[in-house]
Amino acid sequence: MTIRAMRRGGAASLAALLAAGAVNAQTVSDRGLSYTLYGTPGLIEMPSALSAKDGQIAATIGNFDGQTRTTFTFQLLPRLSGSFRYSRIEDYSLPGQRGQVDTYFDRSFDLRYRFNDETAVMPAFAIGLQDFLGTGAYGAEYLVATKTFGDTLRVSAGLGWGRFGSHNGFDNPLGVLASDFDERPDLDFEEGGTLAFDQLFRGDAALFAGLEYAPTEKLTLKAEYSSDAYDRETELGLIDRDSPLNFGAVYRPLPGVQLGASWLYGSELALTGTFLIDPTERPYGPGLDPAPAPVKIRQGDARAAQSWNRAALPEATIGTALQQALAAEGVELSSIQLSDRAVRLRYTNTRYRAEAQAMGRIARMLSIGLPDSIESFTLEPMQRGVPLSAVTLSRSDVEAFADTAGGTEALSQRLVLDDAGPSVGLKPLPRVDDRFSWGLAPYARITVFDGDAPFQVELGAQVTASYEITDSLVASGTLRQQLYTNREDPELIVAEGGEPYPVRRNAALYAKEGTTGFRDLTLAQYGRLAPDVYARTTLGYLEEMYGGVSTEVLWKPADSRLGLGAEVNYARQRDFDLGFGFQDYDVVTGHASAYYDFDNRFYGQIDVGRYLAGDWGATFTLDREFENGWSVGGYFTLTDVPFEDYGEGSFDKGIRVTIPLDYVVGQPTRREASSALASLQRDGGAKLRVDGRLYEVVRDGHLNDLDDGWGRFWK
Amino acid sequence: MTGALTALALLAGCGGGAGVTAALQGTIAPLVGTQAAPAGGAAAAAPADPATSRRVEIAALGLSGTARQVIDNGASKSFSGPAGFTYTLRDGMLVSTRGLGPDLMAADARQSRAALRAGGGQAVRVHETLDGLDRIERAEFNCTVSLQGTEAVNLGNRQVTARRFDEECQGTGLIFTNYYWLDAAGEIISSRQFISQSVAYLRSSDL
Repeated sequence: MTIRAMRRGGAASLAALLAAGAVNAQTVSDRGLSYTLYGTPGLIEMPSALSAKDGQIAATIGNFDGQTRTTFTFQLLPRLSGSFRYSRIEDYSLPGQRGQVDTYFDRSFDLRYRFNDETAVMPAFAIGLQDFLGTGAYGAEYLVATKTFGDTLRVSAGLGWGRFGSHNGFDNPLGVLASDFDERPDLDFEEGGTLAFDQLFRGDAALFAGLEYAPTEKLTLKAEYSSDAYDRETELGLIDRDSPLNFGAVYRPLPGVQLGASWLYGSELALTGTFLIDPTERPYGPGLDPAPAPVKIRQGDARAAQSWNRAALPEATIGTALQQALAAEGVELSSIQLSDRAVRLRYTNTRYRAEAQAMGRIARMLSIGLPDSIESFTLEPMQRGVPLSAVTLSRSDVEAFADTAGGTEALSQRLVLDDAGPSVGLKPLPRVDDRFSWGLAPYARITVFDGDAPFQVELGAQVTASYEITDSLVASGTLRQQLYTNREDPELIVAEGGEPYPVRRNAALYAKEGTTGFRDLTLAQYGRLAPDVYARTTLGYLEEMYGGVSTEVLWKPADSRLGLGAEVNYARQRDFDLGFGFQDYDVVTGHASAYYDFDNRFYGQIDVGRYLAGDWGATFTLDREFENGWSVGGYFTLTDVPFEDYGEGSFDKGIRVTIPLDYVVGQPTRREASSALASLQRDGGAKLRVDGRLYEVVRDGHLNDLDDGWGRFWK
Repeated sequence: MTGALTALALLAGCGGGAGVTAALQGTIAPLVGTQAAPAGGAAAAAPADPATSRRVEIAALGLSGTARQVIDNGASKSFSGPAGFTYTLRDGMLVSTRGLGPDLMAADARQSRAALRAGGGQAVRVHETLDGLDRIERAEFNCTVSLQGTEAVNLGNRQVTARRFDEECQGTGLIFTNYYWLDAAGEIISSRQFISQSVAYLRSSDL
């Protein structure tokens, strides 16, 4: 690989463009935005054409007369939003099913796209699909327009189909296009979770409209004419729908909190609470990082020095002193190469989420401590003992651009990013940091969305420990003690008919029988086979339910947007008691994976291969990542397990969110919290869960992550 | 809110400026020493040496006390203040702070300095801050520097007569006023300079 400079200019300008788009969009419309009972921006039940601020996440809980809707709405792009909803309806059953079931639980997905920004004369227009993936209990489509008048009044009106076309409906105007649109076929939800294309925009349509009035900054009053007839609920005697008119008020006691009350359909009181999270606005702003040592600037002719006196200052002294100084910054220096004019370091940053920030701290220490003749600093960050890349900075640039307006940008354009160099020439330093580390922490496992027992929780304490035999060979384990669970006694699930082997569905048995046990216990080896090729082997009790051996190879040049990987595992199912024993089921599973950074804050991943139940298929993942480490994404897996054999949900899909911990606490830390929100884990498309997969380990030191965190270089 | 959080965290002793001084004095100092560093930047003497100390105050964070010089880079000097925050003055002009949360990442105040030297005038200054997405935000301010007259300034150990200048700056949605007191030689011996919106001003005076 040849030396390439960072493409900062291009990336920055694109980011600027996107940011500008986000700012320019909706100069008026997102002001005073409030949320519906469905957790989408809008009126009381009816939607509006508005979008939230780009990137915003809104969590809404709405309740009325036995219905509880919990919704997460994410503004995926300035104009596109997606909602995931989990709802509970007492005594409800789907149309076509006989009688009432006890309590009905349902998941649903929405999408809304806004076509244009509102202008002085032109309203904003949007199209929406509600509950288009689930069972369709809330299924509706709409076209809606919203116009704001002055500072206080907003009017929305729209045309709805499905639920929103059920009150005072008329013949579908789309019927002129094709007679197919005239009838909405009965819902054939089967196992749910599939795209109901044959329903969209079919059947009768109806008009809805509403007003929002904001007398103060904190209060919004709303009134709407609802086109939802609540046919099924009325049929089951759940709701008295006496009127199409709804009235409500929303109060904002604090920024990011909205509390609402409304009077629905002449008979029902509804309450809502919405909590807003904006990943782009950190509670602690840029962070409370302790001040770094300032840069020392060589004065006068010191810069012209061509060599240094090794008798006065031996190399070993420099290495040891630097190692100690960098330890104060959470940087473990493991090897160093010194010449008259250059230094090369390999180190592990254990403190800063952004490798760029660690580099800034190291560069400052080097400016203070190194002989004047050393002009070139090459920094090779490592994770898990593997060097990720090499960033070369000129000392003169570090001196010139410290505390200088434009200096962060200028430095990023002048640095040279390359693959990490060879180990030859590097002088290893004896390790001074602890090889052994351990921690005690509480853990919680919450399982929601399971059809029969929608909220299961397990609480306990866990001890994690690891020992670094070498930088790249690590033994680690997690011992768990369960302290509380509300799970009822689960029964052993066995495969029936064409169902796949229950590779995941017996999770509850692990919780029941494995009250004290090893969550994992592994030996992991990382390595670099070639400058761009990384490898991992993990052996042992890989995860709660499986043990075995996992091997992985990844090709990912430091400045490439594309990564290609392959993983092959042999996994055997563990005993339910989380001891050392195994059950009979074993499988060879693995994937070929492609990772792509679209350079517009979206990251895609495709995995093709064989899953835990021996089924073959592919997983598609798309994440929107923020520069500050937040990530929100979704995935789905299609395999050769037929939908009817897969069971509820038809195929595996979900939403995942990663929150960097420094966002929350304001102090530098590399830790993050990840959660998959919408997964209903069944047996088709199930993957082995192995810690420390290569792509996530390697990417921190590569072009885009460096670029994202570069603003922190001088922090 | 950010400012309050910052103040809390700093008061709780989370600032790590002690680390800076320790690193400079402890482990790296031997290297610096052998290199004949200019003015022995890293070695801060125990009692407040008037030549290398400043009296500082950040009212919004409730911070006040003595700051010691940690690096002398000729025209620019860096100081470490109470709760471990640091700041850098270039020819007396504040060009950066660290450890305060919403820090001033960098500044270009050369025109303002020139206006002070010229006895007043117009200047454009640039401030850089870090946003919630780790991007550097650049803000430009149009400033007017004007002589306010001669005042007696109490520097703690001594009383000095100095010329006072005000610098009124206006940017997009942000207005601030910096004060400077210049001695007969034209050096800034005391000042109140803008850091960022939530931290507001740093007062720094010679001893």
